[in-house]
Amino acid sequence: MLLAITLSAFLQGSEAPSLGLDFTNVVLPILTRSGCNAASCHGAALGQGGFRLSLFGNDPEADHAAITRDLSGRRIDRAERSMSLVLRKPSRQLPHKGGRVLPADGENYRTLRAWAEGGFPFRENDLRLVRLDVRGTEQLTVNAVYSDGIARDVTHVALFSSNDDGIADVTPEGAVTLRGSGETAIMVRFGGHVAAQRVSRSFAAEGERKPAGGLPLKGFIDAHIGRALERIGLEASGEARDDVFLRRVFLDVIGTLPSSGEARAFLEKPDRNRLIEDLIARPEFDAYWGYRLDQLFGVGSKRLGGKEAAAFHAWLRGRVRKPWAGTANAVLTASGFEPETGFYRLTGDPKELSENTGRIFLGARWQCAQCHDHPFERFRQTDYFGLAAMLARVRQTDSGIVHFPRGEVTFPKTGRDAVPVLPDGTPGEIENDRRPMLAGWVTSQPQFRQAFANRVWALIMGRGLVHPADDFRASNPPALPDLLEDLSRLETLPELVGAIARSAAYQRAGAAEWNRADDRFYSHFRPKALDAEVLVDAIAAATGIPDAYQGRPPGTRAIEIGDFTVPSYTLDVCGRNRPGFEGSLSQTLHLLNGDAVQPKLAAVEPLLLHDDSRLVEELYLRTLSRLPSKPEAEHWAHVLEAGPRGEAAEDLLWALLNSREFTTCH
Amino acid sequence: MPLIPLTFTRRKCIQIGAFSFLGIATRDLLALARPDARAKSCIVVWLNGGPSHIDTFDLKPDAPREIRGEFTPIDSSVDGLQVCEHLSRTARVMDRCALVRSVTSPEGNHDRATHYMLTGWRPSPALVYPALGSVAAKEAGAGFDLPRYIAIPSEIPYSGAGYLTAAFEPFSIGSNPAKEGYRVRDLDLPVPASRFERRRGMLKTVDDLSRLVEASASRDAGLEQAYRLISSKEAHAAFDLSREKPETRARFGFSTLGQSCLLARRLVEAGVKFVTVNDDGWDTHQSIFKVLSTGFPGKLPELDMAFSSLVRDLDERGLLDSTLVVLMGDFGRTPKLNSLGGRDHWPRASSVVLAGGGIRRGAVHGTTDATGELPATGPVEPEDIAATIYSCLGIDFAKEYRTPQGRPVKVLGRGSVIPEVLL
Repeated sequence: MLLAITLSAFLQGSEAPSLGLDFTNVVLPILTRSGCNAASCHGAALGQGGFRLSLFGNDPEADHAAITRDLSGRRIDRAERSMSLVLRKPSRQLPHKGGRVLPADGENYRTLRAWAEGGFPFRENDLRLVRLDVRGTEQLTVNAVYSDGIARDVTHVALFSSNDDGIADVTPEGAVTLRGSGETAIMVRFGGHVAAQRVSRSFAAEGERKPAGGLPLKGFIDAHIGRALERIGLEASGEARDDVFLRRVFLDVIGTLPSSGEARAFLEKPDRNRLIEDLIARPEFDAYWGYRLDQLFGVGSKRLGGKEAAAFHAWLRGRVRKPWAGTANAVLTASGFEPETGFYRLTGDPKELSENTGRIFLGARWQCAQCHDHPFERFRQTDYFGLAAMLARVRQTDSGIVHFPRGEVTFPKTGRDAVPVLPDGTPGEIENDRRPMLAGWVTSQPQFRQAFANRVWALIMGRGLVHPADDFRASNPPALPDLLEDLSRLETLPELVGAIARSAAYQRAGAAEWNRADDRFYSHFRPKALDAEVLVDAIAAATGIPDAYQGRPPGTRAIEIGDFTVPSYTLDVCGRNRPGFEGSLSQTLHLLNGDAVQPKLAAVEPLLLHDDSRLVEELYLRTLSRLPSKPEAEHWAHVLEAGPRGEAAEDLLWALLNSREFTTCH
Repeated sequence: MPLIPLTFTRRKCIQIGAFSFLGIATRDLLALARPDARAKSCIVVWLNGGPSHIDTFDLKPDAPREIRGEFTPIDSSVDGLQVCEHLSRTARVMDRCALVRSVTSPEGNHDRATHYMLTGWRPSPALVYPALGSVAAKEAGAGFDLPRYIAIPSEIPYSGAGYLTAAFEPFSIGSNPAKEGYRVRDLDLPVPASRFERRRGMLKTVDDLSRLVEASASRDAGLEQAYRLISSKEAHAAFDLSREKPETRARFGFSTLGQSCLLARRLVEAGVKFVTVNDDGWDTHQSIFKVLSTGFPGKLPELDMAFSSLVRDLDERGLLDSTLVVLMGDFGRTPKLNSLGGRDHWPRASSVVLAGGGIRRGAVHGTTDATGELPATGPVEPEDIAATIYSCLGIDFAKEYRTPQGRPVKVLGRGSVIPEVLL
């Protein structure tokens, strides 16, 4: 009788038939909600206090055994069931280092006790959780829909977390408090499923709706962003000045600075769309995006060999204007000595190959799943090994990359060979080359196109729609899903880069007072620190003094090296091939005092022939791609006049090259 | 390959612990920061490549020739403790050091082993952990002319900030202190100081006159730190080895390792929190005895001069009690010689020497079996070494940090101090 009341309480008055005392569907969620199987408690790899549960309950059978059978069943008391350790410890009727996580007067405790009194059953029904249904904005309600098609309220056993607690907080009970303006998602987790509930608070004051824009909508990108800005009550910054746009679009589209001649020409007749088209048509476009692809794959002679690295680099550069799906397919099925076998030469470990596949082509981090099911993510350990098995027979031999007739990876839980299988359950080839099927699956995923579009978007716009750009997962939803979907229909780099560069969103000025707090709706342009190669090339372009790299013809730019292991202290110290590099003391010292800048200051020599005002103009145009403002022109003319002129000009160039504006794409 | 079950190792550790009667609670107790921690600074002398334990601090004179090798043990200043004949100066300072001969680990690959030893975490595909020095720098806080964490002559992989921010990366001096006229890379001004002052002013004016990019606090702080370092007389003096007496420089030896150790001592004297001295050449797969003894120059004679002088010098200056010195490398080396007269990677047994702040003088912990293959008593793992180092530095290693993704991670996941080597 008590049992029936308890369970109906668990179901919170819904009319749904009881789930009974099922361990997987009823008991485990309580343990998860109470934190018992978190990584910091019994879910740790070694357990806690001798009691080990699977991380977040991903292995119900093992957990049931750990509770009812380990230590000869000491954790339960079959004679006096309600006196079981599994009840008395978490409710702290006995000392428990984890504290009182299940108060004895709580509903979840009562359910657990009912399960104990019912004889610690494992299976009570065959219901599978199908999906979660989340409603509400202030108090969330979570319904779990099971395979019988019936929804049951699981709000008080679900887990809630906010993706951005600066915008919204959520209590363990699912009550949402808005903290700041903006939009974020509250993630809801239950039974291995995850759902997102969007919550937002307008930037505009109550009753006052600011118009979105400042710029006309130029296409689908602006339509999506415009709607979001409207919804959130954000007013976008105005259009960036022509000179700002000029520098920005050169850096973002071809990775280098305009010459002073190019700058003057554009500023005289500023046709933005024409400039974008011209830049995309230039060979530097191939060089720059080839460099970005090198970065994505990690091309380097240390792991590939010099010849192979050069071949892979050249091949990637040749793919810049071709559809990404074709590139992916060629790379994943490459054999023999084809240049694109570089992917398989980077590592011979099928697990690492599979992780690289996830990262490069699907923007996903699969590493965690090697050791455990990712907490609440859909990508499980079985998926990880199913995919690794599809790459288990790739070998580097005397005849190049071949698909070998033997070789498997071991699934650690069973110690047996992992079976090649796709995450959707489709069994893979066993005897023939297993890779074409893998390539087909990868390139047919919507996430494949989205990951690529998002990566390009992130490089240009300074933040991915999914952020970080290589962290696609259910609990990290895109800021603007519809925009990402539309963007991902564009298949080549020229199309993607062109569409983004032409948008009003890209051409906006920097943050304004009223939209500074926005970091995800592109209401203003986000300045980005220049990456090592681009920075070093910019110094070379501004001074007209190129760098020299080992084994490369004179005049080779840093983005054209095609090998991240070619020695260069300057590139290393500026964060070569380290995305998200935050700068270091060594880098600052090197730019202030070192040979990255100092020897190149001689570039002012020929400019000294000009008069002061033209000299200052040239220096500003070459470094910052703009003419000096009136106060700047006057100030520096004065400094030059005070002299000594040569030194002053050198020092001004030094200051410009070290300036905030120069080292940023803004 | 024989394997020591970890549970055995753990339990053993606890049993021999000073508070073993407290059982499992002992570990929690020991995880707390020690209020009597004495080390203000730490110097790690890192023997890159993996030094052979059998040819340095754990000789096996009674083992068959293909194991014991060519070196003879000699007595040290600790009763009953013998070390290699090529470490005769070090032998005389062993009474100021503690030796752990029973370090064991499953990681036999350089990268993985380095990560394990320097961070106290086995490598994870999902996360790079911060090295001991980066954690020490973070705990020490900012506000000091010299960097908190310095690598000599340059940093090695996995000695960096890992998932922490770049502010806690080591600062590499970027040049060889044994070279004639050595200078810290890019620290000297390329122009006279007055002109640099002017440049600095001009840079500020360029930034101030341009409103196109908003000021960033981290850039300003980075620039400020660089200016402070450039203009700090103390920093320049600390880096300047020519201020040492020629006899002192000679005592450390004019090897890279010797002068690096001397520089490390100067930096610690100047208040630097953590210094890593990285010495290459210990990956002795071939002709190990030649490389270690007479090779040009022999690794052991170099190490002997450098390490013994470091300990002795710190002690004579009254700095040893406030400076923790650690001598370690990737792993030990195979007891059995290979066909090239070398020894290969062997992580199952290795030796670590500790001295100074918080360490009991003359302590010896653990033994290996007759062939130096496995720990026989008192096995400890790299995280126990890390815990011991943190404990000496007064760092609470049970503390939680957050990764950029918001995942809470403890400073150390496992590991407990080795009470036998602590004061």
